[in-house]
Amino acid sequence: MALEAKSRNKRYEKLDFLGEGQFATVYKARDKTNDTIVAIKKIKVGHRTEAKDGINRTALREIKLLQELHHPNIIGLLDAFGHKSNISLVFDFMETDLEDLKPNNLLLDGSGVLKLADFGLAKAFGSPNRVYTHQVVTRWYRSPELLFGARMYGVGVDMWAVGCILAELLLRIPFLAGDSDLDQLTKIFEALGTPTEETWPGMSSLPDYVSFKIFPGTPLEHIFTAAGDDLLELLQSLFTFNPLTRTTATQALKMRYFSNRPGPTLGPQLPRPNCSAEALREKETIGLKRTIEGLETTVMKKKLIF
Amino acid sequence: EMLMLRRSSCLVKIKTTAPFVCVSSSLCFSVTLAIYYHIKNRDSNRSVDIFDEKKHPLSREKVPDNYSVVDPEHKLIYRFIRTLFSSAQLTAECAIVTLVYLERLLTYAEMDICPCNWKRIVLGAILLASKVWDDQAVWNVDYCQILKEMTVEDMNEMERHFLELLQFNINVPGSVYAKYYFD
Repeated sequence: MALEAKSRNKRYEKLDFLGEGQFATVYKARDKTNDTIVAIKKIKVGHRTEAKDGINRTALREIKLLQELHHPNIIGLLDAFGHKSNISLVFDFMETDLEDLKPNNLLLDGSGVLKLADFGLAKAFGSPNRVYTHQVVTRWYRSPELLFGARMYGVGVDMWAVGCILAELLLRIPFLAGDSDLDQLTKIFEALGTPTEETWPGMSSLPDYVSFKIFPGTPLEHIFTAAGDDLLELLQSLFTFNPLTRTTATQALKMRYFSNRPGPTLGPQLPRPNCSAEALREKETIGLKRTIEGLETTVMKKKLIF
Repeated sequence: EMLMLRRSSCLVKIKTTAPFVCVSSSLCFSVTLAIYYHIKNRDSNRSVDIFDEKKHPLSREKVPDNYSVVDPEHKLIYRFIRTLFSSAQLTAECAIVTLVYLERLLTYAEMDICPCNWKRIVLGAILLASKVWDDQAVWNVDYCQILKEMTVEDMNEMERHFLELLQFNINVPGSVYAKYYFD
């Protein structure tokens, strides 16, 4: 048995350090058995009490969910292996950098197909009335009901996060970047106006509810000046305070924004990271030597390309 | 008798004699009966060291010489498992997943559940089922309060072996769950 674990550990050759988060370090590696490039997410061993708890339970839940989910837009788990109290997850390698719905967890593969990653805190939703922990979702993408400590919540928390991601794509910077839970709520209310019992029935009965200063809010067209009416309408519906009336994914997809022209760019035609749209076109012209070699990689690195 | 268990980070007191809220006694009976028959109907005694009670004792009392020969009675298995289920406040879901993991281990590792290893296999399956499926799972160290002579290092080592032998296949699809539930 120990032999097998050892051989699994040796199966991958570490090539490069890709990134580091609060809970894990990600490496680029080569799978020696089939000569493919993979990403290995090595879960950090936490403080001593956590290390004493054996294999990290959040990592185990992520493994379980990824084994359950098979979808073209969800990152594929290839393998998992342990070494002492460490645990590592092996994923398809994505060209873009590697808990929840936030831009860092949205990856593009080589053909421009979007993949969701990081299911550490995800859970299968069974009964909508189940009591859940509210410490989910990175703060900037957290919905007001979670910030007010709601224990019973639903898919609405994801739709709020989708709204924040969409806003971030438009602004190129995080839309609501609070530095504490209370500051997060303040940022939300400053931008969108403070909700009332009329606009959000039941708000004041949430466990961590505190009353806030009444902000009038800024009209979305003043914040997203370049967005068309159809896009503003979508944003408005995603930023609905009452989780029960907030738009669902199915409803959102039926909105005008998704059928209006222009249509989306096809995956393979999307520009890649470290590679501008011009460079892509240039690549196709055989024999043409790039004159500004090196410049592109340094300039384009990590920059979002639209 | 009171047991102190830390669930996530808060301390709760659980009376071991309290009525079972989570796993019904009939479900516990069915699960333990299935395990009893796995032991009774085995063809051979293939084991893996990490699950052997003589090599990794669960209590200070010396394991009897015949520990690997005499099949445990159903009553004994039932008592052992029911204590763990109730102390860890396992849900019915976890009880079923325990059985799924246990049978998966036997298949993947090509081993038999026998008198020398059944307790540790059952413990490993419960620990993992609760950790993966219960939102408020007890910590590994808390099982040491139930099995007083067991060290957390031993517990963690067994957990790791269990996972590796399962090849990290810890998901239980709805169809498999339903099959176990209704059978």
